[in-house]
Amino acid sequence: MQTNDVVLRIENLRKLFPAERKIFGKVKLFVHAVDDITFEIRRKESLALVGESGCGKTTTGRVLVGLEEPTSGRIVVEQEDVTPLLYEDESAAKRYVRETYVKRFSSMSDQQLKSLTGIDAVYAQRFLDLGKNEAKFVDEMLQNRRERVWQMRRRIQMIFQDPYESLNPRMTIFDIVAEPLNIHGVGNLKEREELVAKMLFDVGLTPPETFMFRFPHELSGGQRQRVAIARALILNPSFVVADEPTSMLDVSIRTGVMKLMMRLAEEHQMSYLYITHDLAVARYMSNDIAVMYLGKIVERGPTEEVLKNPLHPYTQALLAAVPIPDPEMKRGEPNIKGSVPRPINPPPRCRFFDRCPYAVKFCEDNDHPPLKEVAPKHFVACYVVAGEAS
Amino acid sequence: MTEMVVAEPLWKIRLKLWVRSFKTGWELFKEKKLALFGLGVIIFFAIFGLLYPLYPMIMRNLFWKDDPFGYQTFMPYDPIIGFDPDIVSHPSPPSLRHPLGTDPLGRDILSMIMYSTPREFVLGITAALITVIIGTIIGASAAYYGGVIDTFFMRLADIVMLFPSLALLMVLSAFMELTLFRLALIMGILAGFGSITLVLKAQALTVKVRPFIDAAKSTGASDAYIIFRHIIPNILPLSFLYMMFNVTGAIFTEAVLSFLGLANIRMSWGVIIQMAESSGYLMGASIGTYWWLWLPAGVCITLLCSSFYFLGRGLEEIVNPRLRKR
Repeated sequence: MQTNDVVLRIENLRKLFPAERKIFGKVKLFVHAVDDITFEIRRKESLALVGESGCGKTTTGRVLVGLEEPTSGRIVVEQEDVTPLLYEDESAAKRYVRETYVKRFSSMSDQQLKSLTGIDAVYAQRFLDLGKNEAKFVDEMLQNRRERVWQMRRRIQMIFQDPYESLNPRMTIFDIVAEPLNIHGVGNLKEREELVAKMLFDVGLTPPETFMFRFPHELSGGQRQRVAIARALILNPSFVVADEPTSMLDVSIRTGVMKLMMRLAEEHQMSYLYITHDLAVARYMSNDIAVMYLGKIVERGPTEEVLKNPLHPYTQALLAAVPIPDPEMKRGEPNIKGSVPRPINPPPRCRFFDRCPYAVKFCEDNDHPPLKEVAPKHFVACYVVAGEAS
Repeated sequence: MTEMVVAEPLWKIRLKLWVRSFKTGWELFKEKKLALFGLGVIIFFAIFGLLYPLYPMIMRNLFWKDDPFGYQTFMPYDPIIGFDPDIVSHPSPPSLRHPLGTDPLGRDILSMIMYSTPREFVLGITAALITVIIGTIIGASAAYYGGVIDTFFMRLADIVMLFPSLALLMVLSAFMELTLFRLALIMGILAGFGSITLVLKAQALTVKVRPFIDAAKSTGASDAYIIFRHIIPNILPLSFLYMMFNVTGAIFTEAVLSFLGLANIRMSWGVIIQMAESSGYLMGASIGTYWWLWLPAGVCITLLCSSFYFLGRGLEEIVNPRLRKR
């Protein structure tokens, strides 16, 4: 199952929301919802994005499915840079291409261009093929933009948190599940019916014909979430953003839905970005885990490794907060203090500084620590843990 | 797994679903006595208006059998040019020949009222339909797009609301002939850009932030698709409700305009009262003496307007579950 086939790669993604409204002058205060995060997901594997509410995990998902525009950063889906497609405005997309590629490439020699790696190499080669013609390159990057946006929407789908709100109460289950087919003009009515029936069967709503023409309010929470999953999978995406799909469900049906999602990932050859605040769910669902705090990834690595051997003080605190089924157990005081600070223009030091039990002077004087590999594939963003300060 | 395809055609299932939701709505509606009364009155008036062609025929066979020539000449049951030569002085009080009496010109009041009924319906419903179509589309788009579009239509709605529409109609009546259809059109457009947009926009805003809109967007749905498939179906019950209230408003405005003699409408309930007023029968003691000139038309206006209103209130409780008493 371990392949090197990367489905999604996010590099330095940043999403700032203006925290004030000004008609004249520049907005100076920003909410740093997602601040410079990088991760990748391989085919058929899932990454769990864990963190408390307000840490930017949902924003990351929303950027991926095109509900929010990234402020900066690059998103690569199946060896294709889809970032220009995420901007609604064509000029913004052009600016992105110029800033990310043209500026960099034009100052490089042929030799340097050829020595680039990863996704850069693909585009550098294209740049060379076009005879280093900058305008032509920009045009080529943006050609068929509308169509490619269309294609991208098919490849990335999202499952929403609240199954009571994410289904239109005035549509039948058939209409809801067939909506993506309808939008993308797939098949005629008869084919759509067959596809929907098959999909409903797949997500365990059997027999499909008894569910197809019911309304969402006639179904239970678990059944609704199954409908939402069917809707997300009907276009056969290669990648699904699952935004806490089980958090609103009853504990008794949670595992059922999770098992279903695992099985479908296997059958449909797809990956999840699983957004959750529940470490137990993350452990069950994911191969890799990334812990987010105030818009930054503070720890990333294989799920088992991170949960068995948490290195970042925030991850340790999260794990310590997991309830233990023993009423006699006395829980110690949490070793982190205070509460989450506001993410508006955070000071240039470690984001966790105010609450960190390890904090030293070095952490305050330097910018937020970069992710450092401390064990194989296990990255931590902490000066103290990485041994750079003590 | 191929035999799982649904046996019935899709439209049939949709029809069934529609009938089912109609039935559940009816169960709730039945409990509202006032709304049932309103519906009853509306049905009564609809039948009443449709029976109009029968009325002269019956009267002719009853009273004009031996004078077919007189009936041909004077057309005593024509609502506009009719005249009864056998009665010495008009207006005449209700009698067997004229169940609601005649007006100062010798026309039969009952036939005037019956003749007007379908026109009142057409006027009210046309105006309300135009209002609701405009209000729904603008309300939904303003809520969805926000920004400049929103500001423009909301300020426009404020202006239209502040503007005395009756005064505007009076001025317009000087410029053009306010026929029934034109009146309906103008009233529909005026009301459509007015308060109904505000209400429907507020409702659309609550729909807009719900995750199923995001779900559709993330699949790649266009703005028009989201507005027409997601937002409008969710605010449609409310707009339908406002349609009921607007029928009332339109009929009422028409009556006022006709009473003031400003509309170019040959016959309507308002015109009947205006006739009585302009010939001086509504002044002083005459108002009691010549009651048949104004009372029947007045009762009709009040009844039809209030019944649409009651119907609307009854529907409101079906549409808006928060109002239900449970």
